[in-house]
Amino acid sequence: MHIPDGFIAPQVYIPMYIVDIGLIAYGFNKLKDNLGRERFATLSVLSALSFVLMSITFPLPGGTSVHITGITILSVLLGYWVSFVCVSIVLFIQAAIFGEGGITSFPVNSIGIAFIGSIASYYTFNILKRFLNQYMALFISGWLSLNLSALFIGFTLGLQPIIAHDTAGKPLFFPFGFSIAVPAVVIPHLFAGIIEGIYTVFIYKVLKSKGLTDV
Amino acid sequence: MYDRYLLTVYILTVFLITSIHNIGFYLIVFLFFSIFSLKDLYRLLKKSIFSILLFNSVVSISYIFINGFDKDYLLLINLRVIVLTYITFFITSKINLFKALSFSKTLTTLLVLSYSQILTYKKLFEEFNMALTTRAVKELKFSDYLNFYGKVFEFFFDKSTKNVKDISDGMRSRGFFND
Repeated sequence: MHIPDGFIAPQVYIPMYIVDIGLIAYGFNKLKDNLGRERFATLSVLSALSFVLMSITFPLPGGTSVHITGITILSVLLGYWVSFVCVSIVLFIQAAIFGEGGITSFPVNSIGIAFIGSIASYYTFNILKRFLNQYMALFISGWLSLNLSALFIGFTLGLQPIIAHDTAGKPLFFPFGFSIAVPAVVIPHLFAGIIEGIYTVFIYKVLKSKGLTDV
Repeated sequence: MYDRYLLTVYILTVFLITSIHNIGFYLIVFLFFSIFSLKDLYRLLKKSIFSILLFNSVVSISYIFINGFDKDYLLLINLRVIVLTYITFFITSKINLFKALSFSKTLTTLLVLSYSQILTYKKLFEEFNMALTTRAVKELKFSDYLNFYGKVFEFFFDKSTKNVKDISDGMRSRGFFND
């Protein structure tokens, strides 16, 4: 789902940077009240945990594989601001130091994957657990959050030829509109979301059985 | 100061490259940076191409199928992505990102701590994966991976809980909190 540099127009990445930096600063200040002095330690360690989660790959038949994000478990266990700030730190370090993802696409990835993923996971789980059993609520949260993130990324990519084209109407950045970009990003994630959901439920069960969570 | 200056040059270059849509301009920028990185040219170019290959191939091939072979667009988009990625790799190899962002103590502390933890966890995670690969005598099933990564998460979650206290105590003992 990570977009490399060069496909997002400045008309999109500059406003998104402003929004994303604002959200990260707000989230970080919010954590100051909740975590106090331990916020540096907590965020750095959980960012590393989030990095590990994002590195987990499940092989699929046919030689392909699927990466999970692990955002749902972080968001449900620790809250969406913690999850959002930690995953954003990871995405920034991946883009700026490891060269995975891009600097211009960082705010799109951060808002799409980290912010929308965290908020969607947290609220979906907390609403659904009133009607369904916890495991089903977690599975749906994992699946839905990944697909909402994919939808946002697809929508952002699809926006590029509309807002950034030359005088002849030829695209200057990502070339495909919504009708191609949205399904191209979302359809594979409909399946990847199933793995995300299964893994979320599985690790929740593991943590619960060891008494490591009381959520 | 050098790091901040280089970071500013990098940000301006990225903005210019994404604002000027001209193949000649991209070639000049690439030539300029490749002169500075002559020693690492082959390594950085190989790394750049490798990191963008999948996404760019999918977009370029799909574009050819849908819109036909438009060499101007294909050259423009692929050259821009390669130049941007090349510059990013070159600058990040020359810059100390933490020094460049040292205008904010909070930001630097958070990034330095996170990066150091990520490196430790990354190494451990690679060792876990190597252990799985070397010890698997037959093809693993999905449930095997699920069990394995469940245990891996449990290990890292437990380690994280303990590390938070250790790091906080370490920061306090070094006077970070100004008590």
